[in-house]
Amino acid sequence: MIARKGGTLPEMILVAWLFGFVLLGLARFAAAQGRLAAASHDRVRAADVVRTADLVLNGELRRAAVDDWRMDRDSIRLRAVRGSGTLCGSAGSEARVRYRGVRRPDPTKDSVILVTGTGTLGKAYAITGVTTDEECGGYRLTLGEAPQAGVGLALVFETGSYHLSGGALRYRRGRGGRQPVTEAVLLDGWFERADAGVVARLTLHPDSIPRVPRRARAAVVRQLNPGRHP
Amino acid sequence: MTTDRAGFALLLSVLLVLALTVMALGVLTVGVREAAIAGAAARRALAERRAEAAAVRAVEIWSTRALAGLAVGEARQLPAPAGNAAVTVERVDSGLFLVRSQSRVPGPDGPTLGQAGLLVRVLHPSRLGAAFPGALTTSGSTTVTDGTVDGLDSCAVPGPAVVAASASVGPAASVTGEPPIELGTPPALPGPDPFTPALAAELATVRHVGLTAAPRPFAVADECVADGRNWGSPDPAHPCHALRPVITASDLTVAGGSGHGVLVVDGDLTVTAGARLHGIVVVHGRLAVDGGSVVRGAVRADSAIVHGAVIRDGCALAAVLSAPALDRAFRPPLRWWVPVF
Repeated sequence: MIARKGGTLPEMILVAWLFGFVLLGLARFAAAQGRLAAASHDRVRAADVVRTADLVLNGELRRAAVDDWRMDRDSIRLRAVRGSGTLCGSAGSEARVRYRGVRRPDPTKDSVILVTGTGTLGKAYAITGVTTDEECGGYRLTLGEAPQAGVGLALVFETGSYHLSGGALRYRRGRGGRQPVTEAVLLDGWFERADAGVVARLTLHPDSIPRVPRRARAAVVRQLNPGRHP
Repeated sequence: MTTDRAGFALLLSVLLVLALTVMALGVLTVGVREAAIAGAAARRALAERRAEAAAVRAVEIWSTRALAGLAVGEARQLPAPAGNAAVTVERVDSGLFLVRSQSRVPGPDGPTLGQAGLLVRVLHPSRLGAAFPGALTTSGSTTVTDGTVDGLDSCAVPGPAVVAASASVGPAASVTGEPPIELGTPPALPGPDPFTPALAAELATVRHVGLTAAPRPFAVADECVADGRNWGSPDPAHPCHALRPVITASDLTVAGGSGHGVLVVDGDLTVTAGARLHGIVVVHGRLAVDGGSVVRGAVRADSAIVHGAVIRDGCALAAVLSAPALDRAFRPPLRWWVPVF
């Protein structure tokens, strides 16, 4: 009988079985890690979307008057104020405004609300022209009609709307296209006024975030609907 | 002694450790990023709330009299009412102010700025007197059965006793003034009318609940104690003379007692024998002044029946129009917060 180096058949089977077992474990481990990474990614995306939506909507609506926005099932139409200032005076159809804002008033898209002591809700006028007024420290706004007499506060705004469509929160200015504000992870959501007249909150039905895993979805819904989901 | 050993345990361990390290780093990166974002959001929210709180606090400690010298378009910085926020008040219109507040919250990448703007309205007490041209002013009918209505005003310029759409005076009544009776529509108030039920409710220092009241001034050791039954004292020597509250009520019977302030009744008011009210009484309904009761100052109602005494007193009127409750700012309807940049 010749002595041979190496393992016996049972040893080989045992090694193959162990190897297969280890490989299977590794594969399952990798798959689990993949799922975990994907879930984590989705959760981060969803949290980002919630944060952005909350920041944008609350920033726009927190200080808006009741007359400045309307809420529908899937959209909020609003007067988005882009600048404000006290009036230095007005003459004819011109109003001189000591203006501070995020951008210069633009007659192609802006209007102005003039708030006076007699009407604090104010009246809206279309802006047809803008020139610099250094004496006042702002701009001379040419309005579509002569404003009511007196001084007051000017709120320069553009009309826009926020929509939940195509999977994202989108902003549309006037008749322009809908610009996405968030990633497209939202579907079929709707807006709801949780605290009438104070703050509009984005409220979502749990089924409106189908691409986010169930647990992350619950977290998103909790954030968007405080007090409703224990 | 070393031995060559075949196998892949070391390689496998290294790969596993590597994979775990990559995952841990990934999770750590996400966590750090989330913490940074949450921190920034928290600082932003804190800055905004601080600015809002400072603006609201500035309105709470408001004194229109202290800002009387501010011209339209002028601004003045107020002492910081809360935290490290700066508050500026700008006169937008004669009766309208813009309160701007700004707060900074320090952060790792520099301070986060929070801003808030509040519109507030103020009253012009000097103009409010115009709402009371006579001792008793009504938009409807006035009947003086057997009482006294005196418009001669021992403290200021004499005026009419009764200003009303229609008036009847009984043979036993005494109506004196220049003229005694002026028929016509009472003047409307310029600007915000603090005597409307809604605004009076906001200005009120005493909100009376119940159908009857017997107010009594109450002081302990020469210190006036303000509570719901204390409507101030008509007696100048009493510690509660300076209280001058604004009192609101619905249908009410004042069954005796005394008070010195502004009483706004959203309904009918009956002043019974023994009651003594000094200041302004505004009734959005029917007023009945029973015999033995005295109302001194000025009265305005929808309609009135007088058996007691209604005496115009310019000093009592001026005293209550300078009451602390009317010196404050109040929230305009519909638009309060405004975006500022």
